[in-house]
Amino acid sequence: MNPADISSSVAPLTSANLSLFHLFWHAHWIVELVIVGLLVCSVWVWAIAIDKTLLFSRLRRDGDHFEEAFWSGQSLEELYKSLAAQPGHSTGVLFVAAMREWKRSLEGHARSFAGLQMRIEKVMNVAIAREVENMERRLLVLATVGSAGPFIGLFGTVAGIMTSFQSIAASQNTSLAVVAPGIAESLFATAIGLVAAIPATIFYNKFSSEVNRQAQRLEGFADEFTAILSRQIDERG
Amino acid sequence: MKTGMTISCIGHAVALGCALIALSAAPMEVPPVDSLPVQFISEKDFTQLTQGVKNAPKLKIDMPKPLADKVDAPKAVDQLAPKVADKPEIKTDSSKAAPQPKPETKPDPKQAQKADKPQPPEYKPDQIADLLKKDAAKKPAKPDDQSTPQKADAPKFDANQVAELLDKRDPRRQVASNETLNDTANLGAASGAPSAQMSQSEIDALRARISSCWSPPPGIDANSKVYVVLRVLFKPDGSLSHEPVLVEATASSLGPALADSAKRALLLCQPFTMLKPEHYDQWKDLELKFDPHELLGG
Repeated sequence: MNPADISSSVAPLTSANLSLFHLFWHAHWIVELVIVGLLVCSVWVWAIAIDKTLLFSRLRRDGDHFEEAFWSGQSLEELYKSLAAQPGHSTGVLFVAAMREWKRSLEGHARSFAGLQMRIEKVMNVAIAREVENMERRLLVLATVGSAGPFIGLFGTVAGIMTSFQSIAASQNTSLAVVAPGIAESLFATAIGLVAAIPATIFYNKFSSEVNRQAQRLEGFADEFTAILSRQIDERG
Repeated sequence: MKTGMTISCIGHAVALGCALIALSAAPMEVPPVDSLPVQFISEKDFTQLTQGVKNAPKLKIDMPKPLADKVDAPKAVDQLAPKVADKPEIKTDSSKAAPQPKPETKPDPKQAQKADKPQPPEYKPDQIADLLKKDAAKKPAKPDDQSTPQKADAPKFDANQVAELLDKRDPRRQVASNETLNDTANLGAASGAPSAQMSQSEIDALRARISSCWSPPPGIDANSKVYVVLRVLFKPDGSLSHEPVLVEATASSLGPALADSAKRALLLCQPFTMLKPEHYDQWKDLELKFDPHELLGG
Protein backbone atom coordinates (compact mmCIF):
# COMPACT_ATOMS: atom_id res chain seq x y z
CA MET A 1 0.00 0.00 0.00
CA ASN A 2 1.35 3.37 -0.96
CA PRO A 3 1.91 5.75 1.96
CA ALA A 4 -0.03 8.40 0.05
CA ASP A 5 -3.10 6.15 0.13
CA ILE A 6 -2.92 5.90 3.89
CA SER A 7 -2.65 9.61 4.36
CA SER A 8 -5.51 10.22 1.93
CA SER A 9 -7.73 7.68 3.65
CA VAL A 10 -7.19 9.32 7.05
CA ALA A 11 -7.32 12.93 5.92
CA PRO A 12 -10.90 13.75 4.92
CA LEU A 13 -11.37 16.04 7.94
CA THR A 14 -11.26 19.30 6.07
CA SER A 15 -12.81 22.65 6.83
CA ALA A 16 -15.71 21.93 4.48
CA ASN A 17 -16.68 18.86 6.49
CA LEU A 18 -16.71 20.75 9.78
CA SER A 19 -18.65 23.82 8.73
CA LEU A 20 -21.84 24.51 10.66
CA PHE A 21 -24.09 23.80 7.69
CA HIS A 22 -22.41 20.52 6.93
CA LEU A 23 -22.57 19.49 10.58
CA PHE A 24 -26.24 20.31 10.77
CA TRP A 25 -27.43 18.74 7.53
CA HIS A 26 -25.53 15.52 8.09
CA ALA A 27 -26.50 15.13 11.72
CA HIS A 28 -28.90 12.55 13.08
CA TRP A 29 -32.51 13.76 13.05
CA ILE A 30 -32.70 13.69 16.85
CA VAL A 31 -29.68 15.96 17.01
CA GLU A 32 -31.26 18.25 14.42
CA LEU A 33 -34.47 18.38 16.45
CA VAL A 34 -32.56 19.22 19.61
CA ILE A 35 -30.57 21.93 17.89
CA VAL A 36 -33.66 23.53 16.34
CA GLY A 37 -35.52 23.38 19.65
CA LEU A 38 -32.66 24.96 21.52
CA LEU A 39 -32.35 27.68 18.91
CA VAL A 40 -36.05 28.52 19.31
CA CYS A 41 -35.56 28.55 23.09
CA SER A 42 -32.63 30.91 22.72
CA VAL A 43 -34.64 33.29 20.53
CA TRP A 44 -37.53 33.20 23.03
CA VAL A 45 -35.20 33.78 26.00
CA TRP A 46 -33.61 36.81 24.41
CA ALA A 47 -37.00 38.18 23.39
CA ILE A 48 -38.18 37.93 27.01
CA ALA A 49 -34.94 39.43 28.27
CA ILE A 50 -35.19 42.44 25.98
CA ASP A 51 -38.85 42.87 26.83
CA LYS A 52 -38.21 42.72 30.57
CA THR A 53 -35.27 45.10 30.37
CA LEU A 54 -37.47 47.65 28.63
CA LEU A 55 -40.30 47.04 31.11
CA PHE A 56 -38.15 47.50 34.22
CA SER A 57 -36.38 50.57 32.95
CA ARG A 58 -39.78 52.11 32.16
CA LEU A 59 -41.15 51.15 35.60
CA ARG A 60 -38.17 52.70 37.36
CA ARG A 61 -38.38 55.91 35.35
CA ASP A 62 -42.16 56.30 35.75
CA GLY A 63 -41.95 55.43 39.46
CA ASP A 64 -39.36 58.17 39.96
CA HIS A 65 -41.53 60.69 38.14
CA PHE A 66 -44.61 59.73 40.15
CA GLU A 67 -42.89 59.94 43.53
CA GLU A 68 -41.50 63.31 42.57
CA ALA A 69 -45.03 64.51 41.80
CA PHE A 70 -46.46 62.82 44.91
CA TRP A 71 -44.05 64.48 47.32
CA SER A 72 -44.07 67.85 45.54
CA GLY A 73 -46.96 69.10 47.70
CA GLN A 74 -49.47 68.85 44.87
CA SER A 75 -53.02 68.15 46.02
CA LEU A 76 -53.74 64.41 46.02
CA GLU A 77 -57.13 65.08 44.40
CA GLU A 78 -55.47 66.71 41.39
CA LEU A 79 -52.94 63.94 41.12
CA TYR A 80 -55.75 61.40 41.24
CA LYS A 81 -57.66 63.22 38.54
CA SER A 82 -54.62 63.34 36.25
CA LEU A 83 -53.85 59.66 36.78
CA ALA A 84 -57.28 58.07 37.18
CA ALA A 85 -57.85 57.50 33.48
CA GLN A 86 -54.48 55.94 32.74
CA PRO A 87 -52.23 55.11 35.68
CA GLY A 88 -49.75 53.35 33.39
CA HIS A 89 -47.16 52.29 35.96
CA SER A 90 -47.25 50.21 39.10
CA THR A 91 -46.90 52.96 41.75
CA GLY A 92 -49.59 54.96 39.98
CA VAL A 93 -51.90 51.95 39.85
CA LEU A 94 -51.42 51.50 43.59
CA PHE A 95 -52.17 55.16 44.27
CA VAL A 96 -55.26 55.19 42.05
CA ALA A 97 -56.63 52.00 43.67
CA ALA A 98 -56.22 53.42 47.20
CA MET A 99 -57.68 56.81 46.25
CA ARG A 100 -60.66 55.21 44.55
CA GLU A 101 -61.47 53.24 47.70
CA TRP A 102 -60.99 56.41 49.79
CA LYS A 103 -63.29 58.51 47.63
CA ARG A 104 -65.91 55.80 47.43
CA SER A 105 -66.01 55.60 51.24
CA LEU A 106 -66.23 59.38 51.59
CA GLU A 107 -68.80 60.02 48.84
CA GLY A 108 -71.20 57.34 50.04
CA HIS A 109 -74.33 58.29 51.90
CA ALA A 110 -73.15 56.74 55.10
CA ARG A 111 -69.66 57.91 55.76
CA SER A 112 -68.07 54.63 56.74
CA PHE A 113 -64.78 55.45 58.40
CA ALA A 114 -64.88 52.29 60.41
CA GLY A 115 -62.65 49.77 58.69
CA LEU A 116 -61.68 52.20 55.92
CA GLN A 117 -58.00 51.86 56.71
CA MET A 118 -58.23 48.09 56.55
CA ARG A 119 -60.06 48.24 53.24
CA ILE A 120 -57.45 50.55 51.76
CA GLU A 121 -54.66 48.23 52.86
CA LYS A 122 -56.43 45.27 51.29
CA VAL A 123 -56.96 47.10 48.03
CA MET A 124 -53.31 48.11 47.91
CA ASN A 125 -52.12 44.58 48.68
CA VAL A 126 -54.21 43.24 45.83
CA ALA A 127 -52.80 45.92 43.52
CA ILE A 128 -49.23 45.05 44.57
CA ALA A 129 -49.84 41.34 44.00
CA ARG A 130 -51.24 42.04 40.55
CA GLU A 131 -48.30 44.26 39.61
CA VAL A 132 -45.72 41.75 40.84
CA GLU A 133 -47.46 39.00 38.93
CA ASN A 134 -47.30 41.14 35.82
CA MET A 135 -43.58 41.72 36.35
CA GLU A 136 -42.89 38.03 36.96
CA ARG A 137 -44.75 36.83 33.90
CA ARG A 138 -42.56 34.73 31.55
CA LEU A 139 -39.68 34.71 34.00
CA LEU A 140 -40.48 31.04 34.50
CA VAL A 141 -39.53 30.42 30.87
CA LEU A 142 -36.06 31.79 31.61
CA ALA A 143 -35.73 29.57 34.66
CA THR A 144 -36.86 26.50 32.72
CA VAL A 145 -34.55 27.08 29.78
CA GLY A 146 -31.69 27.87 32.15
CA SER A 147 -32.04 24.61 34.01
CA ALA A 148 -33.20 22.30 31.22
CA GLY A 149 -31.13 23.68 28.31
CA PRO A 150 -27.92 21.81 29.19
CA PHE A 151 -29.86 18.59 29.63
CA ILE A 152 -31.55 18.96 26.26
CA GLY A 153 -28.13 19.62 24.75
CA LEU A 154 -26.82 16.54 26.51
CA PHE A 155 -29.61 14.50 24.96
CA GLY A 156 -28.38 15.60 21.53
CA THR A 157 -24.87 14.67 22.63
CA VAL A 158 -25.95 11.16 23.50
CA ALA A 159 -27.62 10.79 20.11
CA GLY A 160 -24.46 12.04 18.38
CA ILE A 161 -22.24 9.63 20.29
CA MET A 162 -24.59 6.82 19.31
CA THR A 163 -24.09 7.87 15.69
CA SER A 164 -20.35 7.60 16.25
CA PHE A 165 -20.65 4.08 17.58
CA GLN A 166 -22.93 3.08 14.74
CA SER A 167 -20.40 4.32 12.21
CA ILE A 168 -17.69 2.36 14.01
CA ALA A 169 -19.83 -0.75 13.78
CA ALA A 170 -20.60 -0.08 10.12
CA SER A 171 -17.00 0.49 9.03
CA GLN A 172 -15.31 -1.95 11.43
CA ASN A 173 -12.77 0.74 12.09
CA THR A 174 -11.94 3.18 14.88
CA SER A 175 -9.91 5.79 13.06
CA LEU A 176 -10.49 9.48 13.66
CA ALA A 177 -12.23 9.97 10.31
CA VAL A 178 -14.91 7.47 11.26
CA VAL A 179 -15.56 8.77 14.76
CA ALA A 180 -15.10 12.50 14.29
CA PRO A 181 -18.37 13.47 12.52
CA GLY A 182 -20.56 11.94 15.23
CA ILE A 183 -18.52 13.50 18.02
CA ALA A 184 -18.53 16.86 16.27
CA GLU A 185 -22.33 16.91 15.97
CA SER A 186 -22.75 15.80 19.56
CA LEU A 187 -20.44 18.52 20.83
CA PHE A 188 -22.32 20.98 18.67
CA ALA A 189 -25.56 20.00 20.41
CA THR A 190 -23.93 20.51 23.83
CA ALA A 191 -22.62 23.89 22.75
CA ILE A 192 -26.05 25.06 21.58
CA GLY A 193 -27.57 23.88 24.85
CA LEU A 194 -25.08 25.96 26.81
CA VAL A 195 -25.56 28.94 24.49
CA ALA A 196 -29.28 28.87 25.25
CA ALA A 197 -28.97 28.11 28.96
CA ILE A 198 -26.26 30.51 30.12
CA PRO A 199 -28.02 33.77 29.13
CA ALA A 200 -31.31 32.37 30.41
CA THR A 201 -29.84 31.72 33.88
CA ILE A 202 -28.11 35.10 34.02
CA PHE A 203 -31.25 36.96 32.95
CA TYR A 204 -33.43 34.99 35.34
CA ASN A 205 -31.24 35.94 38.30
CA LYS A 206 -31.09 39.55 37.21
CA PHE A 207 -34.83 39.93 36.66
CA SER A 208 -35.94 38.04 39.75
CA SER A 209 -33.82 40.37 41.90
CA GLU A 210 -35.26 43.29 39.95
CA VAL A 211 -38.81 42.07 40.66
CA ASN A 212 -37.97 41.85 44.38
CA ARG A 213 -36.63 45.38 44.38
CA GLN A 214 -39.72 46.72 42.61
CA ALA A 215 -42.04 44.84 44.99
CA GLN A 216 -40.23 46.30 48.00
CA ARG A 217 -40.51 49.75 46.54
CA LEU A 218 -44.27 49.27 46.03
CA GLU A 219 -44.71 48.01 49.57
CA GLY A 220 -42.77 50.92 50.97
CA PHE A 221 -44.98 53.34 49.06
CA ALA A 222 -48.12 51.50 50.19
CA ASP A 223 -47.07 51.79 53.85
CA GLU A 224 -46.32 55.47 53.52
CA PHE A 225 -49.58 56.18 51.74
CA THR A 226 -51.57 54.17 54.30
CA ALA A 227 -49.95 56.21 57.05
CA ILE A 228 -50.98 59.45 55.35
CA LEU A 229 -54.54 58.27 54.78
CA SER A 230 -54.96 56.94 58.33
CA ARG A 231 -53.84 60.34 59.65
CA GLN A 232 -56.56 61.93 57.52
CA ILE A 233 -59.13 59.44 58.77
CA ASP A 234 -58.24 60.13 62.39
CA GLU A 235 -58.44 63.90 61.79
CA ARG A 236 -61.90 63.62 60.18
CA GLY A 237 -63.22 60.96 62.52
CA MET B 1 -43.23 41.65 23.49
CA LYS B 2 -43.13 42.39 19.76
CA THR B 3 -40.06 44.61 19.94
CA GLY B 4 -38.25 42.06 22.09
CA MET B 5 -39.08 39.25 19.69
CA THR B 6 -38.01 41.24 16.64
CA ILE B 7 -34.71 42.30 18.19
CA SER B 8 -34.04 38.78 19.41
CA CYS B 9 -34.73 37.23 16.00
CA ILE B 10 -32.51 39.75 14.23
CA GLY B 11 -29.76 39.26 16.80
CA HIS B 12 -29.82 35.50 16.42
CA ALA B 13 -29.79 35.72 12.63
CA VAL B 14 -26.77 38.03 12.77
CA ALA B 15 -24.96 35.80 15.28
CA LEU B 16 -25.59 32.70 13.17
CA GLY B 17 -24.39 34.48 10.03
CA CYS B 18 -21.24 35.62 11.81
CA ALA B 19 -20.60 32.10 13.09
CA LEU B 20 -21.00 30.66 9.59
CA ILE B 21 -18.64 33.21 8.08
CA ALA B 22 -16.08 32.96 10.86
CA LEU B 23 -15.99 29.17 10.81
CA SER B 24 -15.74 28.97 7.04
CA ALA B 25 -13.08 31.69 6.88
CA ALA B 26 -10.76 30.01 9.36
CA PRO B 27 -9.95 26.61 7.89
CA MET B 28 -9.97 23.90 10.50
CA GLU B 29 -7.63 21.69 8.51
CA VAL B 30 -5.40 19.40 10.44
CA PRO B 31 -1.80 19.62 9.24
CA PRO B 32 -0.70 16.21 8.01
CA VAL B 33 1.07 14.29 10.72
CA ASP B 34 4.74 13.96 10.03
CA SER B 35 4.84 10.32 10.96
CA LEU B 36 5.93 7.74 8.46
CA PRO B 37 3.48 4.94 7.85
CA VAL B 38 5.11 1.55 7.66
CA GLN B 39 3.23 -1.59 6.76
CA PHE B 40 4.03 -5.22 6.87
CA ILE B 41 3.03 -6.61 3.56
CA SER B 42 3.42 -9.62 1.33
CA GLU B 43 6.39 -10.11 -0.97
CA LYS B 44 4.42 -9.34 -4.11
CA ASP B 45 3.18 -6.05 -2.75
CA PHE B 46 6.63 -5.34 -1.42
CA THR B 47 8.28 -5.49 -4.83
CA GLN B 48 5.62 -3.22 -6.24
CA LEU B 49 6.18 -0.82 -3.39
CA THR B 50 9.92 -0.68 -3.90
CA GLN B 51 9.45 -0.01 -7.58
CA GLY B 52 7.02 2.71 -6.83
CA VAL B 53 9.20 4.38 -4.26
CA LYS B 54 12.28 4.15 -6.39
CA ASN B 55 10.52 6.15 -9.05
CA ALA B 56 9.29 8.80 -6.72
CA PRO B 57 12.59 10.44 -5.72
CA LYS B 58 13.80 10.33 -9.32
CA LEU B 59 10.94 12.47 -10.43
CA LYS B 60 11.80 14.94 -7.73
CA ILE B 61 15.43 15.18 -8.67
CA ASP B 62 14.66 15.61 -12.35
CA MET B 63 12.38 18.53 -11.78
CA PRO B 64 13.85 20.40 -8.87
CA LYS B 65 13.11 23.85 -10.19
CA PRO B 66 9.79 25.40 -9.37
CA LEU B 67 8.03 27.06 -12.27
CA ALA B 68 8.40 30.47 -10.69
CA ASP B 69 12.17 30.21 -10.68
CA LYS B 70 12.21 29.31 -14.35
CA VAL B 71 10.34 32.44 -15.25
CA ASP B 72 12.83 34.57 -13.38
CA ALA B 73 15.98 32.87 -14.64
CA PRO B 74 16.26 34.41 -18.15
CA LYS B 75 16.09 37.88 -16.74
CA ALA B 76 18.97 37.20 -14.43
CA VAL B 77 21.16 35.96 -17.27
CA ASP B 78 20.44 39.02 -19.42
CA GLN B 79 21.30 41.34 -16.64
CA LEU B 80 24.42 39.51 -15.58
CA ALA B 81 26.08 39.13 -18.96
CA PRO B 82 26.29 42.77 -20.04
CA LYS B 83 27.36 43.88 -16.58
CA VAL B 84 30.34 41.59 -16.46
CA ALA B 85 31.27 42.42 -20.04
CA ASP B 86 31.11 46.14 -19.42
CA LYS B 87 33.10 46.21 -16.24
CA PRO B 88 36.55 45.44 -17.64
CA GLU B 89 36.35 48.41 -20.02
CA ILE B 90 35.51 50.76 -17.25
CA LYS B 91 38.30 49.33 -15.14
CA THR B 92 40.91 49.82 -17.74
CA ASP B 93 39.87 53.43 -18.02
CA SER B 94 39.98 54.03 -14.32
CA SER B 95 43.12 51.96 -13.71
CA LYS B 96 45.07 54.26 -15.98
CA ALA B 97 44.50 57.01 -13.48
CA ALA B 98 45.65 55.47 -10.19
CA PRO B 99 46.49 51.76 -9.79
CA GLN B 100 48.10 51.15 -13.16
CA PRO B 101 51.39 53.05 -12.69
CA LYS B 102 52.69 50.73 -9.96
CA PRO B 103 52.27 47.47 -11.85
CA GLU B 104 53.76 49.04 -14.95
CA THR B 105 56.95 50.00 -13.21
CA LYS B 106 57.39 46.66 -11.46
CA PRO B 107 56.91 44.24 -14.33
CA ASP B 108 59.54 45.94 -16.47
CA PRO B 109 62.60 45.16 -14.34
CA LYS B 110 61.34 41.71 -13.59
CA GLN B 111 60.72 40.91 -17.18
CA ALA B 112 64.14 42.19 -17.98
CA GLN B 113 65.59 39.90 -15.33
CA LYS B 114 63.64 37.01 -16.68
CA ALA B 115 64.91 37.76 -20.12
CA ASP B 116 68.43 37.86 -18.75
CA LYS B 117 68.28 34.95 -16.34
CA PRO B 118 67.21 32.12 -18.60
CA GLN B 119 69.96 32.74 -21.08
CA PRO B 120 73.17 32.18 -19.05
CA PRO B 121 72.34 28.71 -17.76
CA GLU B 122 70.81 27.05 -20.72
CA TYR B 123 67.87 25.16 -19.41
CA LYS B 124 66.04 22.46 -21.15
CA PRO B 125 62.59 23.38 -22.48
CA ASP B 126 60.91 21.49 -19.63
CA GLN B 127 62.81 23.42 -17.04
CA ILE B 128 61.93 26.66 -18.73
CA ALA B 129 58.34 25.68 -18.57
CA ASP B 130 58.72 25.04 -14.85
CA LEU B 131 60.31 28.40 -14.33
CA LEU B 132 57.55 30.10 -16.25
CA LYS B 133 55.07 28.33 -14.11
CA LYS B 134 56.85 29.56 -11.02
CA ASP B 135 56.84 33.08 -12.32
CA ALA B 136 53.22 32.80 -13.16
CA ALA B 137 52.60 31.62 -9.63
CA LYS B 138 54.41 34.64 -8.24
CA LYS B 139 52.60 37.13 -10.37
CA PRO B 140 48.94 36.31 -10.30
CA ALA B 141 47.90 39.01 -7.88
CA LYS B 142 49.32 41.78 -10.01
CA PRO B 143 47.00 43.16 -12.66
CA ASP B 144 48.73 42.76 -15.98
CA ASP B 145 47.57 43.47 -19.45
CA GLN B 146 46.62 39.83 -19.58
CA SER B 147 44.07 40.40 -16.87
CA THR B 148 41.65 42.02 -19.31
CA PRO B 149 41.29 38.97 -21.52
CA GLN B 150 40.74 36.89 -18.40
CA LYS B 151 37.92 39.12 -17.33
CA ALA B 152 36.49 39.08 -20.80
CA ASP B 153 36.03 35.35 -20.26
CA ALA B 154 34.04 36.00 -17.13
CA PRO B 155 30.65 36.22 -18.86
CA LYS B 156 30.98 32.52 -19.57
CA PHE B 157 30.18 31.91 -15.90
CA ASP B 158 27.24 29.69 -15.49
CA ALA B 159 24.37 32.04 -14.78
CA ASN B 160 22.68 29.33 -12.79
CA GLN B 161 25.66 29.14 -10.46
CA VAL B 162 25.53 32.86 -9.90
CA ALA B 163 21.82 32.67 -9.33
CA GLU B 164 22.37 29.88 -6.82
CA LEU B 165 25.02 31.93 -5.01
CA LEU B 166 22.75 34.93 -4.92
CA ASP B 167 19.84 32.86 -3.77
CA LYS B 168 19.87 33.36 -0.02
CA ARG B 169 16.40 31.96 0.50
CA ASP B 170 15.71 29.52 3.22
CA PRO B 171 16.04 26.03 1.72
CA ARG B 172 12.74 25.03 3.30
CA ARG B 173 10.96 27.63 1.28
CA GLN B 174 12.31 26.20 -1.91
CA VAL B 175 11.02 22.81 -0.97
CA ALA B 176 7.62 24.28 -0.30
CA SER B 177 7.50 26.04 -3.63
CA ASN B 178 8.60 22.83 -5.27
CA GLU B 179 5.61 21.00 -4.00
CA THR B 180 3.13 23.66 -4.90
CA LEU B 181 4.41 24.35 -8.37
CA ASN B 182 5.41 20.96 -9.69
CA ASP B 183 2.73 19.12 -11.56
CA THR B 184 4.34 15.73 -11.16
CA ALA B 185 2.58 13.38 -8.83
CA ASN B 186 4.31 12.92 -5.52
CA LEU B 187 4.43 9.39 -4.26
CA GLY B 188 5.80 10.36 -0.88
CA ALA B 189 3.90 10.91 2.32
CA ALA B 190 1.66 13.93 2.64
CA SER B 191 4.37 16.02 4.28
CA GLY B 192 7.00 15.33 1.65
CA ALA B 193 10.19 13.39 1.41
CA PRO B 194 10.53 11.12 4.46
CA SER B 195 9.11 7.92 3.03
CA ALA B 196 11.13 8.31 -0.09
CA GLN B 197 14.35 8.84 1.81
CA MET B 198 14.13 6.04 4.31
CA SER B 199 15.66 3.14 2.50
CA GLN B 200 13.61 0.05 1.78
CA SER B 201 16.30 -2.13 3.31
CA GLU B 202 15.80 -0.35 6.60
CA ILE B 203 12.03 -0.75 6.49
CA ASP B 204 12.44 -4.36 5.45
CA ALA B 205 14.87 -5.08 8.28
CA LEU B 206 12.55 -3.44 10.78
CA ARG B 207 9.67 -5.47 9.41
CA ALA B 208 11.59 -8.74 9.68
CA ARG B 209 12.75 -7.95 13.20
CA ILE B 210 9.31 -7.10 14.50
CA SER B 211 7.60 -10.05 12.86
CA SER B 212 10.21 -12.36 14.40
CA CYS B 213 9.51 -10.93 17.87
CA TRP B 214 5.76 -10.92 17.50
CA SER B 215 3.77 -13.84 18.79
CA PRO B 216 0.13 -13.76 17.74
CA PRO B 217 -2.29 -13.83 20.68
CA PRO B 218 -4.62 -16.83 20.94
CA GLY B 219 -7.60 -16.56 18.64
CA ILE B 220 -5.73 -14.70 15.95
CA ASP B 221 -4.51 -16.51 12.89
CA ALA B 222 -3.73 -15.54 9.33
CA ASN B 223 -7.40 -15.49 8.39
CA SER B 224 -8.68 -13.18 11.11
CA LYS B 225 -9.55 -9.83 9.61
CA VAL B 226 -8.20 -7.57 12.33
CA TYR B 227 -5.40 -5.09 12.33
CA VAL B 228 -4.01 -2.34 14.53
CA VAL B 229 -1.99 0.74 13.67
CA LEU B 230 0.44 1.87 16.33
CA ARG B 231 2.28 5.16 16.42
CA VAL B 232 5.78 4.60 17.69
CA LEU B 233 8.25 7.30 18.72
CA PHE B 234 11.90 6.31 18.74
CA LYS B 235 14.99 7.62 20.49
CA PRO B 236 18.09 8.20 18.37
CA ASP B 237 19.61 4.94 19.65
CA GLY B 238 16.68 2.98 18.17
CA SER B 239 14.85 2.28 21.42
CA LEU B 240 11.29 3.43 22.05
CA SER B 241 11.00 6.88 23.59
CA HIS B 242 7.72 5.89 25.21
CA GLU B 243 5.00 3.32 24.97
CA PRO B 244 3.44 2.90 21.50
CA VAL B 245 0.13 4.69 21.01
CA LEU B 246 -2.85 3.05 19.38
CA VAL B 247 -3.88 5.04 16.31
CA GLU B 248 -6.39 2.85 14.56
CA ALA B 249 -7.86 -0.57 15.09
CA THR B 250 -10.60 -2.80 13.83
CA ALA B 251 -13.68 -2.89 15.98
CA SER B 252 -13.35 -6.43 17.21
CA SER B 253 -13.07 -8.24 20.49
CA LEU B 254 -9.65 -9.46 19.35
CA GLY B 255 -8.46 -5.88 18.80
CA PRO B 256 -7.18 -5.18 22.35
CA ALA B 257 -5.30 -8.47 22.49
CA LEU B 258 -3.69 -7.78 19.13
CA ALA B 259 -2.76 -4.25 20.18
CA ASP B 260 -1.25 -5.56 23.42
CA SER B 261 0.76 -8.22 21.65
CA ALA B 262 2.01 -5.70 19.11
CA LYS B 263 3.08 -3.33 21.89
CA ARG B 264 4.81 -6.19 23.68
CA ALA B 265 6.65 -7.15 20.49
CA LEU B 266 7.88 -3.58 20.04
CA LEU B 267 9.01 -3.31 23.67
CA LEU B 268 10.77 -6.68 23.55
CA CYS B 269 12.62 -5.99 20.32
CA GLN B 270 14.07 -2.61 21.15
CA PRO B 271 16.52 -1.15 20.40
CA PHE B 272 16.08 -1.36 16.66
CA THR B 273 19.67 -1.00 15.61
CA MET B 274 18.92 -1.46 11.93
CA LEU B 275 17.55 2.09 11.87
CA LYS B 276 20.45 4.32 10.95
CA PRO B 277 21.01 7.31 13.22
CA GLU B 278 21.75 9.58 10.25
CA HIS B 279 18.17 9.09 9.08
CA TYR B 280 16.75 9.67 12.54
CA ASP B 281 14.46 12.42 11.28
CA GLN B 282 12.69 9.91 9.08
CA TRP B 283 12.11 7.15 11.59
CA LYS B 284 11.73 9.00 14.85
CA ASP B 285 7.95 8.91 14.39
CA LEU B 286 6.52 5.84 12.64
CA GLU B 287 3.05 4.46 12.17
CA LEU B 288 3.27 0.70 12.13
CA LYS B 289 0.42 -1.46 10.91
CA PHE B 290 0.10 -4.94 12.38
CA ASP B 291 -1.95 -7.16 10.14
CA PRO B 292 -1.86 -10.88 11.01
CA HIS B 293 -2.93 -11.67 7.47
CA GLU B 294 0.37 -10.23 6.20
CA LEU B 295 2.59 -11.06 9.16
CA LEU B 296 1.64 -14.73 9.33
CA GLY B 297 1.84 -15.03 5.56
CA GLY B 298 -1.81 -15.96 4.98
